[in-house]
Amino acid sequence: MLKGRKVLVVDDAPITQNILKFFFKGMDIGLFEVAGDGDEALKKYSQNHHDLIIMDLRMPKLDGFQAIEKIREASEETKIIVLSGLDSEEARQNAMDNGADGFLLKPFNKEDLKKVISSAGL
Amino acid sequence: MEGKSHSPFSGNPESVNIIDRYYGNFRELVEKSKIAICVDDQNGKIIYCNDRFLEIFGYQRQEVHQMSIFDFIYPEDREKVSKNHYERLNGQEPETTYIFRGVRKDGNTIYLEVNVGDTVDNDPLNGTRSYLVDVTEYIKNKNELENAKKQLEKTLKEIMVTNRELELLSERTKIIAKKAETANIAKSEFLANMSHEIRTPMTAIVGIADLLLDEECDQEKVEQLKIIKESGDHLLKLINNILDLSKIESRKMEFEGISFNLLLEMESLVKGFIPKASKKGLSIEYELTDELPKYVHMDLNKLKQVLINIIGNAIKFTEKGYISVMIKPDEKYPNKLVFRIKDTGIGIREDEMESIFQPFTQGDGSISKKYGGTGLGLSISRELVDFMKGEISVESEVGLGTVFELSLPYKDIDDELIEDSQEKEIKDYMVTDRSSTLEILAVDDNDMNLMVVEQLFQRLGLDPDLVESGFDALEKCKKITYDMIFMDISMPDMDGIETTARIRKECPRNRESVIIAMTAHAMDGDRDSFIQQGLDDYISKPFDREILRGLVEKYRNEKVLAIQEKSQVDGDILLDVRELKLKFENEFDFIEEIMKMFMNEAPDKMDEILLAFEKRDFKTVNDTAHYMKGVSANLCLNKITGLFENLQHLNQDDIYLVNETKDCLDSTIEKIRSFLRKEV
Repeated sequence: MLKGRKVLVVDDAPITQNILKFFFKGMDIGLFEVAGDGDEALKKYSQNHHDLIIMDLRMPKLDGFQAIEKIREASEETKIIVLSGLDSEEARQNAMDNGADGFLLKPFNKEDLKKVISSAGL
Repeated sequence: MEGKSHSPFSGNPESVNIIDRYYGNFRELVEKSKIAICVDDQNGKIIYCNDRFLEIFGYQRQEVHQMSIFDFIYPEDREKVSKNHYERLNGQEPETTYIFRGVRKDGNTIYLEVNVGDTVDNDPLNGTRSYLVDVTEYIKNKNELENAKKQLEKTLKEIMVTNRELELLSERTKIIAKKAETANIAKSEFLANMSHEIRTPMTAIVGIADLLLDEECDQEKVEQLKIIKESGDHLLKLINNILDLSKIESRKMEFEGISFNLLLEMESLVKGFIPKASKKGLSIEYELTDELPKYVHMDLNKLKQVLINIIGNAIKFTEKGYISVMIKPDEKYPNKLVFRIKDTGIGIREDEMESIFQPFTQGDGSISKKYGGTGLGLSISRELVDFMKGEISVESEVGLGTVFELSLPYKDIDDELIEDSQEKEIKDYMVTDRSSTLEILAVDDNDMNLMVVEQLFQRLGLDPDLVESGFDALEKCKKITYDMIFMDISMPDMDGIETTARIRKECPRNRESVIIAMTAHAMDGDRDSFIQQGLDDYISKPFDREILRGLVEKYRNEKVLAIQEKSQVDGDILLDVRELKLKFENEFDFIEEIMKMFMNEAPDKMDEILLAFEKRDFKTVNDTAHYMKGVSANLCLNKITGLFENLQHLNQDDIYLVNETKDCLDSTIEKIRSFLRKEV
């Protein structure tokens, strides 16, 4: 359950951030933050230790996999869901191998998001 | 009156004088008058009468001498006349003209109208002068007329009474007819409901017996299962027959004419009976005459039903010999075919001939014991033949055999037309080979039925989701997009109709799903009502594997076509409005917000791409296109998403693709503007 949980969305596209914020509305979460790149994500994570991170892969500066690696150094508990535009089993496997708990393909809807969160174990 | 100078006449005294002088005091006028005239004195004694008077009453002149006027009056009328007489003498003024009855000498009664003369002053006789007309004929006619009129009135009254009785009778007849109609409808409904009640559990019994037969190896159990299966099949056949009959009686049957190859259809029908016949050591002879049309238009299903029944009977009631089936044109009527089925069986006694067409009747009671059967087959056959405007007749001799002859109308068909449509059918059929897996949901409150359904689907290579209530179905439908939903109609709490309506309303992803009613309500009229209520089709329980396969193939085929169509169309859509609204739950404020963000951002990103492309900086082109692809895809901007996807892999000079993307982005933004104007 997401009730009271802290969520961080990491994506360089403000529209995608907004859409995720829209989808999380009504899920009763405790904190919703966004970051536009890997560096900013790490900074915010070190302050608030989010329970759930939605992470785009292709970003300027620190990319998604680099950011995940850093976060995993600090915590195995945080659930990380990779956001990707690449629709292949290879891409999915690659994300899981790199420490992700779930894989969300763009475009996605609210049901897709809920499904991937619950299968990640939240 | 005699010798009197006084004249009672008004008029010219001159002319009276002339009459007096030449005709002797009017004497001749009185003597020869056709009006009977008599004069009596104050006691009523006749003083004078003319010839006409004597003639009317039938007397000789000498006989009336000394007679009283009252002697000429019918006794019962004497008082009336004398009253008038004395009133007048007393100076009163009684009626001067009236009718009374007189008596002739021969005793006959006559009617007389009398006109009484004026009273004369100082009359020495003090009597009366009476002028009489015989009105017997007139009165007689008048009485007859009155009698006739009375008779007429009486007759009229009788007619009116009869009429009223007829009306009452007619009303009563109407009431009885109405009652009969209501009773008949009630009967049909009862039959339909009863068959429903029986068919539902039969689904499970026959279905499971069927499944077990496939798996069971123990010979003894196989035999027992066969008994269950056969008894179940028999019961179902009985129920179907009853249902057929009630359908016919409630006039719910429809003519389903199709064009078909007569020879092929009849051959395969007759061939189907060969195993059954050879089991009894009977041969089947099949004869077609040359002049038969190749293709005909008839109600093939009903024709088959009748033929199967009659040929089946022929085999059933024949122990040795043969069955022959002959088809020929009707010699008496053009456009009619004769189907003649002859057997060498037990035959039908003459006194049983008519009753064999009655429901629940077989030749005699012992027959059903020996041969089985529902006793409905022939009555259904006759109803079906009647319905097809044909005739059925039977000839039989006990111990020798029976001949049934059907004469049925058909329509001739142009041969070429048929070849075309058959080719088309073959082509259509080929498409169904294209396989793709289907998401299927089955909903039934009876878990036995669900189990049967599951097994049937598994044999078709499909794995349906199963739920036991409408509520569970709704939950499933919120999460999963199904291609087909098989829906039981009679369920407690929420029935199949309501569940369907709620799925259509509350589960957008299943708005287009094919929903098929699983029902034991197998009346023909139901199909339309299901379709009206949002279902797509129906299948009646217990269902046949082949019918189920047919349905699945039909909709699988439709799905494949729909997907092909959809992918063609959807890829070309600039903005998928339906999907957008669905995704963002009709929150127009939010849609407007993100769309405005897109319209601000996209042209800048496009400029970045153009700039990078000029510098042959493909990495920046790819990265930016990738970014835009993700954003566009999430905003349901289908066409531009596809173009950005191509651009994200661009690694060579392709100015056309870049330009196309730019143009498409412009149209997309225009499209978004018009959408926002319209919706927000």
